[in-house]
Amino acid sequence: MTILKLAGISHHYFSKNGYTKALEDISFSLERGEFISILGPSGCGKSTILSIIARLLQHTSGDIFIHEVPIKESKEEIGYMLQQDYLFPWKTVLQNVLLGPKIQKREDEAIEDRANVLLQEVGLSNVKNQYPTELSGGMRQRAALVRTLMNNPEIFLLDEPFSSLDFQTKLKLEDLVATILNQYEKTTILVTHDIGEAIAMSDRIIMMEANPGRIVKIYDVPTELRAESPIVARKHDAFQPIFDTIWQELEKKEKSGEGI
Amino acid sequence: MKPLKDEQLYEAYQKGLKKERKIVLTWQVGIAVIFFLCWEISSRLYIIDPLLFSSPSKIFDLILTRIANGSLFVHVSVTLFETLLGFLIGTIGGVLIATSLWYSNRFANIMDPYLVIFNAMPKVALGPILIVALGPGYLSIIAMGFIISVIVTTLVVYRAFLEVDRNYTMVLRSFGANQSQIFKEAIFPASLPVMISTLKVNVGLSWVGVIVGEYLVSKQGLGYLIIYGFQVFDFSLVMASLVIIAILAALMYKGVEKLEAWLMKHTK
Ligand SMILES: Nc1ncnc2c1ncn2[C@@H]1O[C@H](COP(=O)(O)OP(=O)(O)OP(=O)(O)O)[C@@H](O)[C@H]1O
Ligand SMILES: [Mg+2]
Repeated sequence: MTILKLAGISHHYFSKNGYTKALEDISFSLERGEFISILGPSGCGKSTILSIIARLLQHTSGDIFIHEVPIKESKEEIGYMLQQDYLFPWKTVLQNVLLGPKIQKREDEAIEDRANVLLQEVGLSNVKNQYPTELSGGMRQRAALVRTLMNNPEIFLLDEPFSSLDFQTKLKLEDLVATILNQYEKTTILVTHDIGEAIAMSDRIIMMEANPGRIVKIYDVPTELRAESPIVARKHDAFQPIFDTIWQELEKKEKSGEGI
Repeated sequence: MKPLKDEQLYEAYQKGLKKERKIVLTWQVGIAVIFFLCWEISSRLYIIDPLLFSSPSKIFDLILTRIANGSLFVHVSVTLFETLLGFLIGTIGGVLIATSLWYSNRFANIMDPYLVIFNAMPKVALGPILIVALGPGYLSIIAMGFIISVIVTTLVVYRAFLEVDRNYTMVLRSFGANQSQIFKEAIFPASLPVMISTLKVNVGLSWVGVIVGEYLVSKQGLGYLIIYGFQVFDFSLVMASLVIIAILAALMYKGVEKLEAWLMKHTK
């Protein structure tokens, strides 16, 4: 079942002094429960794609369908985890997590239980009454993850959630996210700079180039890697070949002066 | 034995702090004492004209008799009341105007030149117009205290609203928040520190507005006492009023500082 379909999406940012063409002719679709990654150089429009799918930006041309309904008419809940955690410093972890339900005016005991369960699952229940500034980077990311999960979105958008973390924390968090998203059968788009992360976590990888942002290639991750958890997948025999393929493609781009 | 050593180090550090505090306090008291002593002596020895510059003892006497016969209380309470009201209305009004500017970009664009003009204008120059419009009474004086702080508050707070990280708004919008929810959950709390810091500025501004207002119209208040003392050549009265204003303004400033600390702690 196709849950999300982008057809010929372009996006321009307009300003007084001119415009930037951030995206050109982006097309891909996502099946239910699928996990795809978007890989590409800085400024190629990765965050822009996510913002458009999250309905925070209006694309300038093309069509997007969610469950075959045009995105504007669709009421489907979409979870968007921004490039940084953006926890509200004046709210406690629990209050941050309950922000979505509060905005949608459906705060009740069941929701609060759900928050507690999720916080427990990511190992934050002992700090839920503390403020974000008192947490480590990894803890903050986990809190932001729970906040995004609270509204039980069908589609889950992650914008470089692990890029600011040290390697070990990052590996652990990748595993945690993979487990949780698997368990709740979320359809996910992950934006990342990290080839290994993209391979370890996803079913497919979309590679983009910049100026204007375009899709270069879409890679299928070998089936034997998809079934494994990210940490195991990184050590799998099938990991290195696809890593090298993608690496070489990126190198080629760089040599041809496209600047990765 | 090691923990004891840490304790001792800490004690020594504390002792150092205490000593430093003592030195600073000694100097502070010393400067005040020397200042008043010089003033008193030079006044008694006619080095300065005692009729014009009065002397600390005369001022002190005057304040005591005025407190005893109750004639000081009226003036102090009138001025305090006007200042507090001007301060409150100015601050709250400024925040409200800033809020409406934030709600409508178009409104903000339309208002822009007027705000610039109003801000650049020396507000006390509007005194006569206020008196004509509102009558020569409390109303004009409070309006003066208000008008002098409201525009600055508006501009500073509006700026703070605009500078709130867009991504907080993005998070809220991804949950489907409307404009009021965005204001309540992100814009307002994120700007609270700025709003609180405008309180301190506004206390000072409101004093200026009210004293100038009292110069112009009133029959009561500390500003009136200064002008009256000046007209009847009673400079002890002028000086006494100044001393009281200085004390009250400093107390109010300290009070707002306390309030600021409290707010910062409890609105986190
Ligand atoms: N609000 C904006 N106004 C104008 N131009 C923008 C805006 N946001 C992004 N752009 C431009 O659009 C292009 C794509 O930006 P985007 O943030 O989507 O890139 P990205 O792939 O997410 O980059 P990064 O990996 O650095 O996060 C860039 O050239 C950027 O300068
Ligand atoms: Mg980005």
